[in-house]
Amino acid sequence: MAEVRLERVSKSYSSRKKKIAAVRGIDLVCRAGEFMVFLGPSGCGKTTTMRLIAGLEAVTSGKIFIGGKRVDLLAPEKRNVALAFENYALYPPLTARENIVFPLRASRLGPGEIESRLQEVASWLELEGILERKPAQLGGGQQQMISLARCIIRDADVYLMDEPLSHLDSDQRFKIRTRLKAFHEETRKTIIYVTHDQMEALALADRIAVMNEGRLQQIDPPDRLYARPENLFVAGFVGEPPMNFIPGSLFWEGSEPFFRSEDKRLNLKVIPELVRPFLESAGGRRVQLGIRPEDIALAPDPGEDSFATVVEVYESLGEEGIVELRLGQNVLTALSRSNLSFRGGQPLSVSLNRQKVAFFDHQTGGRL
Amino acid sequence: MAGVSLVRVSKRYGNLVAVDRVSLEIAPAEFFVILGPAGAGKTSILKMIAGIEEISEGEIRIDGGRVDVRASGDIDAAMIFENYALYPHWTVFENMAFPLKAKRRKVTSAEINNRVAEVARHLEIGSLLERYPAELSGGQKQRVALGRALVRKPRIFLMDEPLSHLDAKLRHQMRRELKKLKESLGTSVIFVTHDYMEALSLADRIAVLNKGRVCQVGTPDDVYFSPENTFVASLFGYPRINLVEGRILSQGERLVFCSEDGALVFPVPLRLKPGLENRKTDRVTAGIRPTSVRVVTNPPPGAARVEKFLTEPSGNKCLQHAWVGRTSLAMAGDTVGPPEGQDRLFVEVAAEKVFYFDPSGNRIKES
Repeated sequence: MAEVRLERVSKSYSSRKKKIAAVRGIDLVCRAGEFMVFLGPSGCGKTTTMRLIAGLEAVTSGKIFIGGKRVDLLAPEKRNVALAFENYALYPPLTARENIVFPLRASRLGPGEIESRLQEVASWLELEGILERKPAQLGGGQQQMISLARCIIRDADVYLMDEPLSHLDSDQRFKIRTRLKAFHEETRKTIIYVTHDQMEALALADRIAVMNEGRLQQIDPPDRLYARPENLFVAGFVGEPPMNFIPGSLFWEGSEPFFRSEDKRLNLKVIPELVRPFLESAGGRRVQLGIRPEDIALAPDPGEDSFATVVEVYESLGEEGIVELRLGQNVLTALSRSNLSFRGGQPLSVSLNRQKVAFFDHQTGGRL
Repeated sequence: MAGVSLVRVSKRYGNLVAVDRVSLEIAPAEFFVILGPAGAGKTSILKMIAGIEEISEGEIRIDGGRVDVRASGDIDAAMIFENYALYPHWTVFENMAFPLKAKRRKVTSAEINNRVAEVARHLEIGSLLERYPAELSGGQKQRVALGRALVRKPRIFLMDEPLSHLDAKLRHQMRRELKKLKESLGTSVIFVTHDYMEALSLADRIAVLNKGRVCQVGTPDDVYFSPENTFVASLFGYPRINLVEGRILSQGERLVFCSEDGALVFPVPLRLKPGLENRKTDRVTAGIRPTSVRVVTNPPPGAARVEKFLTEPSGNKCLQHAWVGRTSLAMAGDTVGPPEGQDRLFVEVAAEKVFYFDPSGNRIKES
């Protein structure tokens, strides 16, 4: 296992007329033995960054180090990285078994050792029954598991995985995800894993690097990323249902800070410590208030800063529910965990957990 | 408004039985969801109702009248597809007016204007009539597609996985959009999906389909809280229900469930005692929802020791996995992060909420 370090790494593609910057000056360190996830929407540069580390693409500028050794000028096979792709890249004439052990053909391992590794990986990914089949005889999910098996059977410094579970159905994905996590806990290999699925990222990662438009937005452990998103993009991307945002302004009234929504329907007393560092006693500041669905109380204690909303829609989903609430010009999504039931059009008094509100700058989107 | 009934409807493709003697009664104005995995026969049923596909056997009636012998144009069902199929070079108004312009309908242009305006107002897209599809959000497109179907005043709506091509976030948002619109439709809807959340959220009733057969028909609460068999139980909930094989044993006055390797033991609720008493020679399967089991540090009497434990933060919930003997249990807790003192953890099962299934997978009920 080895540390991976990126220094000011950029990648741009030139077409006839314009230059497209896919990755713009990424600095990051993936520690030795860390499970790092690159998370972002399609086109954010996460896959390109991974391909730069693997050597499948050349950097436009910047440096990449693996285990302290500069690798960005080395050929892919000299970097000792193992890869698993979304689109399998299997050899069609070879069986699943031959595909999986293919990377070991040049190693010094004896046939006995290779076979025992194969059995271990195959049982782990439940591939025992399909080892003699060829890729064309397998479903998309199975092919993807072969590709993943071929990746983890190796002894590499770094394991790079690009959406390796995307073709599995949701049950299978859940199962393999858990095994992948267990595999990492046991072996402590350095893994860099690319996904657009925030649930997968939160579940697997030691740390998540969130990317958007070629830039690194935030890099943090899952709990911290969820609890303290650094900007509006991260706040909106991580979490399901997503965080609610209400445009408005912050201002002092005497010694007490308040938030008032743009449509003036929400007036909220704010905890002074939360805003003191960035809100001067004179004048106000335009912000977006952010509140997670689970931090909206649907049955608040009487008297406690509640405000009137109207239920737009209520979804009962087994043991939990999702409620959309109309508050002036804003629609808020809230979670209901208990046996409460609501109907559309019903007035409902709710409160926000004042400890949990976040404020983002109106212009930059940065967390205040 | 019309009801739809299917009487022992089958569809065969050569030797393959896609739909096997399915009988369903869909009430007027009901939002009826057909839920099942890929290949269950959902879409075949929808196509047969629409008259796009012939039926091999049985009868389909709309408002009591047989339709399986008629041409699809006469059935008056509006089908809404995955991609909405809006014409990109036409405005919202032109898209919505299109079905009324068919010659045989003989609708005057004044009436077309009126109907489109009325439906648009109803769906709150009145201000969008001059826009083109590319200028609309996903939710707006969905409304326009519905509006185009509504102006025809069809007798039933047929929807085939209309949300499945969207990414997770948008899909959940659009599901709620559709739920809002549901009340204003006033027309029977038959909605096909493989997504259990869509079924629970939208349906008045759900038919669960497996390999061409109906496993259960019921309200969302029925199928979630009283699943007829392991298949239905596994279809609802994420992570899916834990199915643990074991036996029923007597422990003094009570009955207990004991997993195959004896590592996980918990009491059987009294109300199930009569039904389980004579199952002692059988293997049974306990169905434990991830929300009905948790890991605790203070063991209740007889609690099973956790040998291995993993947590997966997922934002507002915490998914956990505990290994007890050879059994692995998925759990979904409200709190983020593992409990303290990881070396002494025990599993606590909410025994009242456990389902029991017989060797053929059918739920053992209170008798």
